[in-house]
This record gives sequence, C-alpha cells and structure tokens, in this order.
Amino acid sequence: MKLLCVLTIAACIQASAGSFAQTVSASFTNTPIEKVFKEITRQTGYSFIYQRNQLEQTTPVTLTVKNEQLEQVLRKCFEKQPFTYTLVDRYIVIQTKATVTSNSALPISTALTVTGKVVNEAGEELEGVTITARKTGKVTVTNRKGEFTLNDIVEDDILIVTSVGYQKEEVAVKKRSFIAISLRIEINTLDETVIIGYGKTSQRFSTGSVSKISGSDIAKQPVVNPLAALQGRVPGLVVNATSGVPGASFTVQIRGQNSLNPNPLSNAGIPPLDNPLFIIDGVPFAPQNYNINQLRSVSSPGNNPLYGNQYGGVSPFNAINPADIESLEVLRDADATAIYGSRAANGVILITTKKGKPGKTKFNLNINTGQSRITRSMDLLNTADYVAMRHEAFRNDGIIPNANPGSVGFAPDLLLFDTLKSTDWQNYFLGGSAKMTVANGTLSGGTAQTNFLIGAGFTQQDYILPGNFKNYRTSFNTNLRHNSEDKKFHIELSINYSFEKNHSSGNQFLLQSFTLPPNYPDLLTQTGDLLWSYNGVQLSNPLAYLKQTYAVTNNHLNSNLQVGYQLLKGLSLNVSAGFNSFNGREESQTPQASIDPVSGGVSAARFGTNEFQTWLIEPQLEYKLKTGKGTLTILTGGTYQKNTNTQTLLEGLGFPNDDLLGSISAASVKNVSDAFFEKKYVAAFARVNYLLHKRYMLSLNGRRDGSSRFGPGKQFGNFGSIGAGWIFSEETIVKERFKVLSFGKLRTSFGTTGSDNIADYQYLSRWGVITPSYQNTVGYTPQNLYNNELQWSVTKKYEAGLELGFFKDRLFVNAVWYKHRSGNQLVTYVLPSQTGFRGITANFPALVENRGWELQSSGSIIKQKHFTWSSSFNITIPRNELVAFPGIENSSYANVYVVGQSLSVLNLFNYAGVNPSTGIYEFETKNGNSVNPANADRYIVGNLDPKFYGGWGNTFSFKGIALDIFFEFRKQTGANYLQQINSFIPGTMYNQPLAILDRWQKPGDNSNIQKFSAQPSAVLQNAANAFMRSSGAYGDASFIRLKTLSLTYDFQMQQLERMKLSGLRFYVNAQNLLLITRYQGNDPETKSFYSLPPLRTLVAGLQITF
Amino acid sequence: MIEVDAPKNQLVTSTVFKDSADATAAVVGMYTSIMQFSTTINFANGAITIYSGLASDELQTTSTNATVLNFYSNTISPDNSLNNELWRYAYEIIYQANACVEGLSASKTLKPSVKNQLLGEAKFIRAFFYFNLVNLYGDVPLITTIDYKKNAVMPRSSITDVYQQVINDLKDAEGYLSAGYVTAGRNRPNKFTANALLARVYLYRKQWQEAEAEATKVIGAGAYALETDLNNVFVKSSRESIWQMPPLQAPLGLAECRQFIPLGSATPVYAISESLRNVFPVNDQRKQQWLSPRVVNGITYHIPFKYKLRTSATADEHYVVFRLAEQYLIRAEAKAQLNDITAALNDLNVVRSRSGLTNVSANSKDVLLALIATERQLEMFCEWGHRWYDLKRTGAVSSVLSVAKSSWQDSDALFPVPFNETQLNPFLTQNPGY
Repeated sequence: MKLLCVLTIAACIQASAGSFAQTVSASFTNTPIEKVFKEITRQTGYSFIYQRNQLEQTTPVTLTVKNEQLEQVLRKCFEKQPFTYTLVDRYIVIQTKATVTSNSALPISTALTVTGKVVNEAGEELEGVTITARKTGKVTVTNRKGEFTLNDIVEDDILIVTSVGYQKEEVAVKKRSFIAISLRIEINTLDETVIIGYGKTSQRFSTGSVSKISGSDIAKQPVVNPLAALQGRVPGLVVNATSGVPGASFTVQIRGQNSLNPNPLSNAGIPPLDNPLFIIDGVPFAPQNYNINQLRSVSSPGNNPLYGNQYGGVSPFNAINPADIESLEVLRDADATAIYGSRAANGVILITTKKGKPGKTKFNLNINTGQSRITRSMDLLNTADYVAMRHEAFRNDGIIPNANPGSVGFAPDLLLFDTLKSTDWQNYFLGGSAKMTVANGTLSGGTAQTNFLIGAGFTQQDYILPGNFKNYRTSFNTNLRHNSEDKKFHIELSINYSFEKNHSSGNQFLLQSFTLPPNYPDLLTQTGDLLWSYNGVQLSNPLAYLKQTYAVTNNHLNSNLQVGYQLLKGLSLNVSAGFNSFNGREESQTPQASIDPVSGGVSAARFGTNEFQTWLIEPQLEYKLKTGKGTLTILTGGTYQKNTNTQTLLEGLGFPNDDLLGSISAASVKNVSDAFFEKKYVAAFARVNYLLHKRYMLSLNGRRDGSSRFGPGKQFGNFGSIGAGWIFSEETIVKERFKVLSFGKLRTSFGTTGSDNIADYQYLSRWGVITPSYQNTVGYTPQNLYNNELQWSVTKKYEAGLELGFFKDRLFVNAVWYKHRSGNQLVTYVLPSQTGFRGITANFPALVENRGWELQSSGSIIKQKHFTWSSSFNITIPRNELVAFPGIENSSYANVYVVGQSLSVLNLFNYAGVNPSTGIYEFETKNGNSVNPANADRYIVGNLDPKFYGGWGNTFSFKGIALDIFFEFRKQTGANYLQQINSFIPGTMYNQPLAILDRWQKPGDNSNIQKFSAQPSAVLQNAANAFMRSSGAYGDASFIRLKTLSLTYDFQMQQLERMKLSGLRFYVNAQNLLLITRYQGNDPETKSFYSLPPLRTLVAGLQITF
Repeated sequence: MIEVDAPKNQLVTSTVFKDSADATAAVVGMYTSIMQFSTTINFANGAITIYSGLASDELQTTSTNATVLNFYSNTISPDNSLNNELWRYAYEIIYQANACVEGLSASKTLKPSVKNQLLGEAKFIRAFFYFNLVNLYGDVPLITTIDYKKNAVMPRSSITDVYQQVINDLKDAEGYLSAGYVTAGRNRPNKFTANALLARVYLYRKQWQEAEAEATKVIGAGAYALETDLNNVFVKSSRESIWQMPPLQAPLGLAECRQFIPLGSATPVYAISESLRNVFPVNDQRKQQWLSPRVVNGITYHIPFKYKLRTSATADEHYVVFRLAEQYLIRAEAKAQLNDITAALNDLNVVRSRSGLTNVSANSKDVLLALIATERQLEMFCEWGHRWYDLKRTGAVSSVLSVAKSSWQDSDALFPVPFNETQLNPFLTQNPGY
C-alpha cells in the first residue's frame, strides 16, 4: 500500500467559507511545516490534503506575515519545499514537485484530463474526498458537489480514492474522461452509520446507547432465527433459547426486568417477560416477541416446570430471514429510546433489511447445507442399573413387586418385561441429526437516482426427533428507492414477505419419552402397528405422539413506504406509512390410530388462527441548520398506530375417520371460541439535536403519548429525555498532552418513558359470550373487574458513558453505567376470590431498579499486510433490585418478593441434605432441620439474574482466509436436573440420569439424593415436592459457549477476473460448537432435563456474486 | 382517535341490560358458568355432592390423590387445591349474580315482566350459593355488590346475617318469579324453586311453621308429582323435578356422572360406603335402582347410580337440583317438630312407598324424627350435600362421624377457609382447628 494514510487536518471543522479570514497573520521560527499548516487552517478554515511521506523532506519554516493574502503566504511557505499545491474549494492539496516533473515528460498524447464525481452508497455527493493518481502522483479533492478534475493523467493510470469513514477504492482510468465513483462506508469505525429512532447517527456523535450488529456478523452464524444471532453480542441484552426444538422462541430482555410478576402466587420466581419493542424497517412487528400459539405442541409445552419453558411457542421471528437483514440496532438508554415513547420502556431492537445500492447490477447467491445435533445431555441408567434401582426402591418401600395390574407393587418392568433387553431411548428420541439447507439470492443495482433490491430465500430445517417433522421458510425481500433529479424528492418502498411452516408433534410428552425404562418393549409390533399391550399389560406408547401432529403456518408481510420532500433548504417533510401483518394458522390432530383402543378416547382436531396487524403512519418535519460553528437539527412528528389481534379456535371431537381430521365439519362435537384485541396509539414528538464544534452534543426529546389502554382522561402522558456528549479528545490540551488518545467522549442521558404494557380493555367493564350455550341460549359472563383509574407506569433512565479510542482508533474502550427505575407499576394485582375475580389490573407503588455496567472493547491487535487479528469483547454486570414496595407484607406478593432483592429472588426453603438416618430430604427451619416442609422456613438463597454476561469475538484473516470465533459467556444460577427429576421420583417406572446412583442407601449415608421409592409415600412425595421449591434444586448454570465459528475463503481479484465473477466465497459456519460448563443437567441455557437442549449446527456453503 | 370499542365478542356493561335478549343472556350466563366443565368439578356441578359425600359417611374412594383423600379423612388442609376451587367458583357465580342484580335494577329500558323474572333468577342464584357456602364454611364474607375495593377487604359475616340475606333474596325471588317456567323444561328456576329453597332454609333455621308453609306451596302447586319409577326421577322429563340443569354438551354428559360412572371396566373412583349401604332396608328399591355394583379385580364397588348415563348424545338426564321428594321430607320434619305426628307420617310414607317400602308408624316425636332422618339419608344420598348438612344442622355430626372416622374432630364440621384467601384478604379469619 503506497499511501499509508491521507490526512486532512481538522477535517472535522466544517466551516462555511465566509466565516473565516482569507488573510493570515503569523510568525514562524524554524517551525515544522505541519504546525504551519495547522495554524493556517486555524486562521482560514482551509484544510490541507497531503500524504504523510510527502512531509518527510520538508524544511522548517521561518516566516513573519501580517494580514497577508492566503495565497501569498502559501507561496512563501512552499518556496523551499519539495512540493507545490493546488486549491480546490477550501482544500489545499499538496503536490510533490519531483513526481510532477518526471511525469510531465510523458508524451502529451497519452495524457488525459479526467473529471468525475464521488458519491456514497446512498447517492449523496461526497465533499473532501482525496483522489490520487497512482502513476503520476497527482492529487486532488472533490468539491461540494463531489466533483473532481485531474489534469495530465496517463490513460492506464489508477485512481486511489480515499475519505475518512469510507473504504478505500481503486479505480482504473481505462481511457475514460469521466468516472463515477461510489464509496462504501468503512466497517467498524466511529463513523459507521447507526440507525436510531427516525434517523441515523454515528458512534462518534451519538449521545445515546446504541449497539449495532451488522448483516455480516449475522451471516457467519448458521441460525434460522435472527434473535439467535444476537446472543452474547450486545451489552445489556440477554437472549435465551427456550428450547432446542426447531423454530422455538427466544426470550429477549434489555437491561433486566422492570415489572412485577403479574401472578405471584402461581408463578413464584418466574418473571414475566419485559420484551423490548421490535421494529422492522420503521414498522412495529405486529406479534412482537409474544407467544403466538394457542395450541399445545413440542414447542409450546405449556407453563410446566418440567420443561422450564414458561414462554414457549414457535418464535414469530422465524418469519424473518436473517439473510435479509442489513443491520440490527439495539437501543437501550433514555436518549436512544425516548423517541419511541411508551412503546420503548424496555428498549428497542431495530431490524433494517437490505436495501438496493447504486452501481453495477449484482447478483448474489448463497447456498449452504449442514446438520444439527443436541448440544449436551446426561447419561442415563442402563438396564442393569435401572433394574437394580427398581428393586432397591421396592425394598425401601417394603413392597414385594408383583404382576397384578392395579395392585400396589405392580412392576411390569421387573416381572413382565424382558429385564435383559436394553434400548437407548435417549438415542432413539434425541440422538438424531437434523439436516439444514439454506439458499438465498439477491439482485441489486441501479443508479444513485433509482435503485433496487430483490431477494428471495429458502430455509429448511429438520427435527432431530424421530418423525417427519420440519421447519421451513420461504421469504422475499424487495426494496425500491427513487430520488428526483433535483434530489428534493425521494420515495422508498420496502416489502418483506415470508411464508413459514413448522410441522411437529402436538404432544409435549414426546419430549420426556426418552425416560422410558430401558427394557421397555419395542414400540412397534412385528406388523408395524403401535404396540398397546405386552404380556397382558396396557402400555402407553410414545410413538403415538409422533402421529399426533401439529403444524403452524405463518404468513408475514412487512411493508413500509417513505416519501420525503425538501420544502426549503434544510427543511424537509417525510411521511412514513407502514403495515405489518402476521397471520398464523395452527392445526393439531389426534387421530384415532394414535389412541389406545381400550382407553375409549376419541379422535380430535384443533384449528386455531391468530392474526396480528399493525398500521402505522408517521409524518415528520425535519429542519437542519448550520449556524456558525454548530449544526442544529430539529425533528418533529407524530405517530398514529393501530394494532389488532384476532384469534379463533375450533375444536372438533369424534371424527368418523382419521382421514377427515383436517375438516372441522366432520367432527361430531364442535367447540368454537374467538378473541379480539385492538389498541390505538397516538403520539406527537419533537427532537432537537445540537452539535457544536463537532465536539459538544446536546439532544432533547419531548413527546406526548396517548394509549387506548387507559380510560377517558387518563390516556395521555408526557415524557422526555435529555442527552449530552462531549468529545474531549478534540480539545487542544487533550490532543497535545495525550497523543495516544485518538478519541474520547463523555456522554450522559436522563429521561422518562411510560409503559402501557397491560392487556387491552382493562378500564372497560365488559361481558363476553360464554360457550357452549345453555338450552341453546347464549350466555354472557362478566369478563373483568374494571379499573378506570389506570394510568401510565413510568420508567426513569439514567446513563453515563465514557468512550475512548487509542492509537489512532485501533483500540476502542467503552464503559457505560446505567440505572433504570420503574415506578407506578402496572400489574395484575391479585385479589381474594371473594371479589369474583383473581385479580385486577392496577397501578402499584412498587419501584424496581435495574442498574449496571456495560463494558466493551474492540481493537485490531495485529494489522499487517496479509495478516490481521481483531478482537472485541463485551461484558455486562447487571443488578436488579426491588427498591421499594409499600405495604408488601399485606399484599399478595408478601411471600414472593423481598425489598432490596432482585425480582427473580429465590425466596425458598433451604435444602439441608438427606437425613442420614431416614434417607429423606430435609429442610432448614429456625429450630433445626425438618423433613416436613410445612415447618420449613423461607430463606433468600439467591436469584436467577445473570451475575455477568457477555461475549468475546476474534477475527483472523490471512489473504483470502478469514476465521471468526465468537464465545458467549454468562455467570448465573439456574434450576438443575434435580428439580425436574423429582417430578418422577427416582425408583418409579422412569429412567433416570446416572448421577442419581449417588443416592441414600442405608442409615448413615450422606447423600444429596433421597432414597429410591417405587410407591412414594406422602412423606416422601411431600419432601420431593418441597425439594423442587428449595435451594437444592438450583445450582451453578454458568457457561462459556463457543457460539460461532466461521471459516471463509474469498477468492482474490485476479482469480475472480479469470472466472468473470465479482465475488466467490467458500465457508464453513458452526453454531454452539462447544460448551464449557459445570451445570448439572442438559444445557444451562434451557435449564431443563426434559426439554430439548439447543442444537449444535455445522454448515458448509458457497457464495457467488456476479 | 384514541378510543377503541369493546372487542367484537364482548359488550360493555351499559349495553348488557338495555334489552331483554342481552339481559337474559347475562342471567343465562350464570347457569352456563355453573355447568362448565373444567379440570376440577365445579361448586354446583358435582363438587358439593362429592366433597361433602366424602366428608360425611356417604362415599369412599379409591383415589390416591391426597387432595381428594383429605376430604375423606376430614383432614382438609387450608392449602387443599380442591377446596380453593370450591370457594373460588362460588364467589365467581356470586359476582355474576351481583352484577346481574345491579345491572337489572339499574335498567330503565327493560320491560317490567322481563326485569322481574331475571331479577328473581339472579337473587335466587345468589341465595342458593350463600346457602351452600354457610353450610360448608360457616361464617363467610357476604358480598352483595361488585365494588372490588370494598369486597377485597370484606370480613366474614355471621351465619345469621348470611341466612337473613338468603331469606330476603328468596322472598324477592318468590315475588318476581312466575309459577311457570320461562323456557321449555324445568331448566330455569320458577317461583316454586324459590319456595323449595325457602322451605329448606326455614327447616335449617328451625322455623317449622314457615318451612311447612313453603313446602306446602310446592307440594300443592300441582305441577309436581313423585315419579313412580325410580329410574325416571333424574331424567329430562321428570315430573318430580323442580329445577334441573341440562348438560352443556350432551355427548360429554354431566360432570358428576363422569366422576361416579367409570369408563368401561375401570376401577370406580368413588363408591357408596359400607355403612350407608347397610342402612338400606332389604326391599328398598332405591338400593336396587340407585346403586350399581361394579366388580374390578375381584372387589365389588357399589357406585351411586341415580344418574345412569356417563354420556348421552340426546342429553336424556338433567342435573336435578330440587325435587319434590325433599319437600315431602321437609314438611314431614316440620310437622313432626310441630307435633303433628299423623300428617308427618303421611308425608314420610309418601316417599317410602314410592321406594317399595311399607308404611311406618311412630308414637313419639323423637322416633319420628329419627325415621325422617334415616329417610332423608336414603332418599337424598349423594345429592347436594344433604347428608353432610343434615348431620350438622341436627347436631349429630360429631356423634355419627366420630364412629365412622378415626381422626374425627369437632372442628372438622367446617371446611377450612382457603389459605391463599386469608393471605390475600388480611381481614379474613380461619375456621377453628385449621
């Protein structure tokens, strides 16, 4: 690389020409030329453009001038220097004399005058871009219109185009006299565009907390769901898989839980999900991250502690193809989120899809295929150990096993099954591998005036479970943008559509089928039918669950139209109109063939539809004013949003033939229900940004929000925020004293946002239809206790951040401290049933605080010609605390929450081990240990919040090879396998993990697992139940996961030219490849012994661009 | 711009009581709620019968479920989930009745005839639920409005006060309701249903003359007659029935039947106790018709068989809440207490002879009362908690059950107030002994 760096002095100071003097007064004595340049720049506002090496042989300047014209001064300065200069607008371009001389000798016939224009990807003209001719060494810069002219250029010369914040571009002249150049924004710099609410900014000038995950980071991860690609990558964001079932949902939370659990009595310790707001291309995603499924399935196993999956369902985000995403932005603090108002109390995740880019029409095809397996499981007992466990259990119970069905001590597995037979059911049900195939293609191109992108993608993922189950998606992404010739008008249309189908089992018990006794008979008869009885014993047959199918089909459409017009200089009007529609259709079938013939059960089919729609219109007026040394931007606008959700559920029982299960009209009993929800939201907002001297930033947000979730008079609330930043590295004293510091910014923000995160219609007193009818007369029942005093809950967010860049921005360090406080909580307050209802939605004076540190660093550790190593690291140390709760002792939360503790506090029995003499679990009481949980006292034994979490990524590249390694880590406590296996007490007719062999066997034994029992007594059962609610069921669930490993090879330019391609890449991507944990159980992320652990995926692929 | 309408499948309260169709639907919603199926049996859809049958000496169980066994052994924990549901369902229906009473009373657009009929039904339902609540729990919070702020902290009212509210409601209902049934069959309470419950309430309150008068109104109404065939007492067309409820979904049958009648050859969950079976005289037709032996693994279980159809596509059996035989027995007891031995014997023998038993005679009030008590035990077994309530109102509960149940304590006569409720309402006290 010839040009190591091109610097523009004080390029940041963008001044209008008129405000600076054209004359210079100065006195230099043996002053280095660089200092002279700086002084001239300071006085005139003219910037110098030069290469570092040009200044190597300069002579120090001794000169005194007073009010002399700039050109005069320059001529005097340059007299003894080995270079001359040219003036382009406000730039002084340094030209080396020697080069000019040597090249001027070239035959005049081969010399060209080249003119051209430089724009960015958005088609905006770029000013101040340096153009250097490689052979002649001639240099110039672009003017305000992005235009440049270079004289006397050889016709086969190459132009090197550089500009701060953009990737260097080399363009062959090829005898052309006019050259259009488009520059791409440089990745990983302070000046990369960051999407924020209703606008864009850069890391440099942002006053808020915004993190960006680019499409290229997503592309390295073989994930079907874009949420999975966020894991570990953003400080303050926890993304957790609910299950390894393909298509299963993820929980997403930004900076912790803000609201109280709506149902403290039934769900102790399980927080509701404070989901952030999800916006796709400016349009709120209609289903957000909520459970969209009404029917049971392996992905919706229900709120059952066995599966540790309270949220469940097929993720609505499966409808979004990760390959269509240009970037994901995570907005966290008040400054960044205030513009979204009440919708953003829990943060915002912006999803921006790929857009067309001006330039040659490009076609990009990316295909990969691979396989998935489960990450981690526990070894189970083999037949010999299992049989021994059962015998020991019966001995402990004092019961002699017998072969009489229905009698105490009935043990078919010991007496009727073959006790030598051995089947690895875990391998049978969970040991499979699932194939994954992905194909994506995009076509894009156009001019700066009109450009387009058309993309299509197909993804198919199989299940590791036996059975013909699949998750597949077809998606389309289109974007069209047009600017009028005078650039005053622009219009942009983005449309994303996807069709997704997830086909699995409707019976969640399939998930725990791997705990069948290892000597259980084969599940199929010799004729291939389901086995229902063996040696005279009725059996349950998990293969029936495979026939009990479940399918969900989701159609997702997101469309956004943006129209803008520049009314006056600096004043533009923009209107954004969006529509998002998410239509889900579910169907589950229980054929007669899957039901034990003697059970008398009838065939059933259920059909559900769940339609979500969001309409949005947002007019905005933006005014930009450059005054003196500052830039003022005022944005004002409004939002009108309407969300609807319509659900229907049909249930048919008793079909004459299994082939008719798809038709509700064939059912002999039909049940029908439906539900409707509607929310309207209006807001008016204004944002003022002021940037002074490119180093002082101020941002003010104010808004008024209205929500239909509140009754008349309570609908509107006012919220606002203030953010300020100071780039102190621009101060002279810092620049001179701390040379290693290339960037330094302090910023802070404070603001309030409201929340209306409650069910619709709570202020209305309503009656609804109750089905079935009574005597064919429809009945109504009261639906709620109404509360017309509901009002906004308010979250106050404070934040302070320090951002530092070292060694010419090779190393960045970024530290943020935040504190969010949510008060006037909107909760479903539990009432005694004598009121007729279990609860009422009400405001509650509890105050919840989330505070913490977010630290991030990134840097290029090695940067050589052929080898680079860059690394990035982030860690978040959060703390959640219930700060105040007036009257907690008299409230329904008295036994759940503790003031001063986290909302996920484990306020439980303290497990005291197995009593050495009785072999039964004991719990701590204030007067010694007790086996009777009724006597046990509650203790605070911890909480479920992560203590810290984050990620560490490394990218190595050598020539065309790039290796990307990303680790996710989390320190946390979680429920382990001991909680779940006590639902099926060891010794009963279920297989168990090998770990339970460490049980209590005889008086005097010290063990953590109580004695085996085949017919647990009430005492044993109570102890097991209490154990599940005790400290004993929780343990370390920390982990370090090799989240992503990606190896790519890009063919080099010369090879590509031979193949007539503009890009060719081979790659291998892996997700969840390795897990380091001490967790006792399957996977510390899903934390359940009976749910499917996340999948480990390895794919190989190829990407062609031409 | 920001207002939304109520969801399409719901109405706001102000419109519900505007016209007769909607107001009727609100009242009918109470019956639908009562008859709803769920994972546990509802208060008035099997739960009273089964739990009080277990708590008294009527039923035994093969269930291994501790929450069920607790009723049988009279060791109901305040945490017992079935007891929680029992309490909760009752107050849910009471809320509905209160909401109907308030909405109907405030309505200015309803025709008076419709308004009266519906108001009568709502007050009757409220009375019926409070009658059962005081008999299960003793003092209970007396909620008669829908104001959750007041209701959430309402302490328990005395049994006397609750009964006074019950009597007031029933007298109102008697005045509002017509003698005929508003719909086909006997599926919605009429005037005589109010009289029937009044007769029972006065009997329990030992107001013998009032009890006799109310029972006489029902017996003399002419609309009711004892079915001569015991198999016809609980069917849809029963002439003995005063108020009966149809199953909501015929093919699924009645909730209580699904509990009592096992599927196929399965082991019955509940069976008649040995002691009750021994009380039946040899020739008692009720023993033949209303009990059914089931043999499983060599063990014979005698299941309650008043209802005979686990499922019936045509809903042939309806769930009978009030029937004429009880009114004869109420009147017999009231007259006995008033020392009108002959008239009392007449009423008693009407019921006896229907079951194929010979007439009895008695020469003293005490002997007669004992005969009536036995007859009530046999006639009303496994119906609506009669045995459990009778033992308690006559003061015999401890002397009878301490023999039958080893762990009997006097305080077991009342079910515990659910623990959760006492946590959620600091003013709600627990029954003694829990």
